[in-house]
Amino acid sequence: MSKILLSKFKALFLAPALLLTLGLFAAQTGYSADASLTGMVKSSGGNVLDGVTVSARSSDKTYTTTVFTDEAGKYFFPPLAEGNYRIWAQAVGFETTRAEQTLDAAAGVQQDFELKTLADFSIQLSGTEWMAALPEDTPEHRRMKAIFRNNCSGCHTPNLVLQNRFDEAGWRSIITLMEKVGIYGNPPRPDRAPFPFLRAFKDELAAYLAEMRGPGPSPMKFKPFPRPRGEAAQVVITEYDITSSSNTDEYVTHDGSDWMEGTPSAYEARGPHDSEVDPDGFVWIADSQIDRVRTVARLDPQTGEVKNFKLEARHGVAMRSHGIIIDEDGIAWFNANGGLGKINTRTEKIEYFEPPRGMARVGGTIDTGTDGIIWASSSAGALAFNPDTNEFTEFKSIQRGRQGRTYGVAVDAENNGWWAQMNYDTVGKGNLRTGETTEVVFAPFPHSNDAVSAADRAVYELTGGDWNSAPPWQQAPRRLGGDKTGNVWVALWWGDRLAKIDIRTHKVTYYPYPSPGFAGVYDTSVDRNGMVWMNLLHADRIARFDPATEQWTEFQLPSLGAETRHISVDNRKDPVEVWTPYWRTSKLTRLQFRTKAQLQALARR
Amino acid sequence: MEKKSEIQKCVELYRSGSITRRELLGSLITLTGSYAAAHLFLESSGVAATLISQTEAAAANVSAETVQFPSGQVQMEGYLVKPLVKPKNSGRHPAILVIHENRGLNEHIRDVARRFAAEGFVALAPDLLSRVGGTGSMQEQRDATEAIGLLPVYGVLDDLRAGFRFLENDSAADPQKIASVGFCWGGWRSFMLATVEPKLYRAVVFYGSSPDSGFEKIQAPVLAHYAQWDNRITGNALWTEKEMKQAGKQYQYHVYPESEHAFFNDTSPRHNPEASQLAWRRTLEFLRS
Repeated sequence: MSKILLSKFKALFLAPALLLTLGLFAAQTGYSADASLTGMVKSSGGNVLDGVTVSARSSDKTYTTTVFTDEAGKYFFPPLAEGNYRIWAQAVGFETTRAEQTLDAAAGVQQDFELKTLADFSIQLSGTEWMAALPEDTPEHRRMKAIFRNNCSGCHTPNLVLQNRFDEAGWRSIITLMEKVGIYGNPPRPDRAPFPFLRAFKDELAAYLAEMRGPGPSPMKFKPFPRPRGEAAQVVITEYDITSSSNTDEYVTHDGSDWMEGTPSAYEARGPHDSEVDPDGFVWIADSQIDRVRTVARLDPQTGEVKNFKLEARHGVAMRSHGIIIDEDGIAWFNANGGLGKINTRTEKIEYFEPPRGMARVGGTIDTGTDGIIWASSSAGALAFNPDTNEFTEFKSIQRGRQGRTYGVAVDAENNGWWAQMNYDTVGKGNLRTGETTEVVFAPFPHSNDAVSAADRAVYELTGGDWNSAPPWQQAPRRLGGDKTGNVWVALWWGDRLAKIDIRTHKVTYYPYPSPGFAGVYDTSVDRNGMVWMNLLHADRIARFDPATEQWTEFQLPSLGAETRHISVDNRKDPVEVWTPYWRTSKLTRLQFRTKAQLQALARR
Repeated sequence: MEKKSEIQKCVELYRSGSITRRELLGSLITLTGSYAAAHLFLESSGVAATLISQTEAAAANVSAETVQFPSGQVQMEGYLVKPLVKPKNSGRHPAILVIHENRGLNEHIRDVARRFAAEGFVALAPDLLSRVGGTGSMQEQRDATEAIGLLPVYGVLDDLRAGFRFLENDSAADPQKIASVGFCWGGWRSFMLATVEPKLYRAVVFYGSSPDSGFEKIQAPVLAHYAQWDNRITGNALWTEKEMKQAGKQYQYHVYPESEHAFFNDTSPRHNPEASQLAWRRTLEFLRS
């Protein structure tokens, strides 16, 4: 079979296009992109500030471009399209500072910034930094921090909660609401069972939050993480606005782009869950929200234009999706209302396949291998779909019960399908050739013994975990990706670590997130060089893990509270480009990596 | 058309006694594609009320009829089943309100009502979709489930209280011994009925959630059956136990190993026979205690 894998590790075998010049960045804006924007950022005290986030947005575009200052405090945008721009500079501990400039090709613009310090910068911090600030000085603080961590940071980031202050009664009211809100934000109903842990720990949690974030003094100590340096300060990040799924003329306004506004609510719009780049450079998006306009959408990164594609459900509502991949033939495969959607990205022809009766429905994550088989998660395990025969084959988890909560799915180098059971701390492995299913079990998360009283243990053991609520010992394999050498890389969500599984020996190696706080390791994607990319949901960062050196390199996103739930790599570009959707604020974001030489060339212009 | 004639053939086989009720249901589930669609066919076609109900009631030695009763401005319908054997002492039978799942009053719930009657209870299974035309009026199963999701939450409790009054006024039922048994969606309603109906004798909850408050108003002892793999429902048992204890009320619960939500429903793929038998035995013991 000559099919070439293009999804998780699909493009590993492609000869990369040689797009090494500065033209790379100009070409992708699609306009006469040769206007120059540079500048210098200092504090109001006159100190040079490195790692400052500088963003620019043209008044007639729907995307924002961001770069970071270097060690000399200088920033260099890639050539931009001509136009009227808003430009703003941000760093934690300083006020957001803004400017406006008209860019034209005839003369470069230099826009310097002087940032005033900000005494209370807590609202600018990421969820990970907020988590790091919660004290662990006493057994009770450790216990309550563990309860907060595993119950209040699955449906949203911890900073969305902690940026507020309420008294104990106020916090109790918030928890009373939250214990019955569904994981997609569904409004509460009196007959819906509450999240058991939130209900069980409500009074203690309300008292704890009032101590941490009440009207009085708090023991929290905030320490911003270091700003981007070196390679992490050389990236160019483009954040594309995706139109609201409820109104195609609307974009999100409170979108985390001004850190002083804090972490945004998800209620304005949300939905872009997974995304993949097709062979022509268009980016396909799976939308997870109920709406009337789209099941999936396509972004043109040249223009920012979004086109919606809809599979009809009932009452004029679109079928709902979650996961999407694109195969070598330019076919996008996505889940939709329990079936498998297929769209030819060139002809835009859509087809839809449903598993036969008696088989579990298609779940929310999709991947494919070099044999062209499409793997999808299901509540019972995984489904393998043969595109030549349109037949589904079912694989069932050995540990039964829907409470296993299957989430991610991935295909390995030998075309086995893998699926993650979050609540059983296992991953299943299905062999389509033999029909065999095997499982790999993770060791329990090494939680502090202080975190669990005897009464707590009774509640935890009776209930077990759920999607976004779990006992402190749960690792929660969430999403995963295969590499070409024979490993599957698993994001352990509550365990906050990366795990490598050797697909032949099933040996597991753990790589904990190396910094304080709770990063939120959510999804992995392995690039053609074997680098493991992860989205760190709470940190508003993308991480790259080098299996050879075991080093993590983190790239900060320009928006606060983006809530990324997927990561993909465009292996056709050189260097590779990384895409991540902002589920919370309805954006799609691309990271492009510049070398020092490229920056020096810009400096010389 | 072919499918329609296949369905008709199955119904005739059942009518002639060649296949059992369970075999009929199994065939219909295969032909219609799902448990839910099969039940809806039986309700909307009238086969459940006119054929199965009468056949099965005769086999179980119980009488069964469709009854109507008012709930405010709403005319409710219900399935009323009574034992044909007279009770030994009081002359009246203990009674049960059987509260259906979120699929409406279907053949499974009728069957449960008949089983209670065969055990000596007067059983009334109200059709809580009566407010919107009744379960049989729904075109598709998802219409029934959507309609149930839109019912007024507390209006349904009024309908259940109306059912309670109906049983109180039934000469065959002992008004001092009217209990409720609810499944899934009906489980919460069975527990809630205990908070609003002080005369309720016992309340049984099959994998339903608990009230948020109002435990101090409960008079009836409550028995709950939970599935091991039913996180949000089962996980609140300890909290419920604590609240009931603090209010000085009787609450006991059982968690059935390796079972899923709806394990008692013998027409569902999640049916767990061992757990069902044990839960049934415990329920009867509790109702007779």
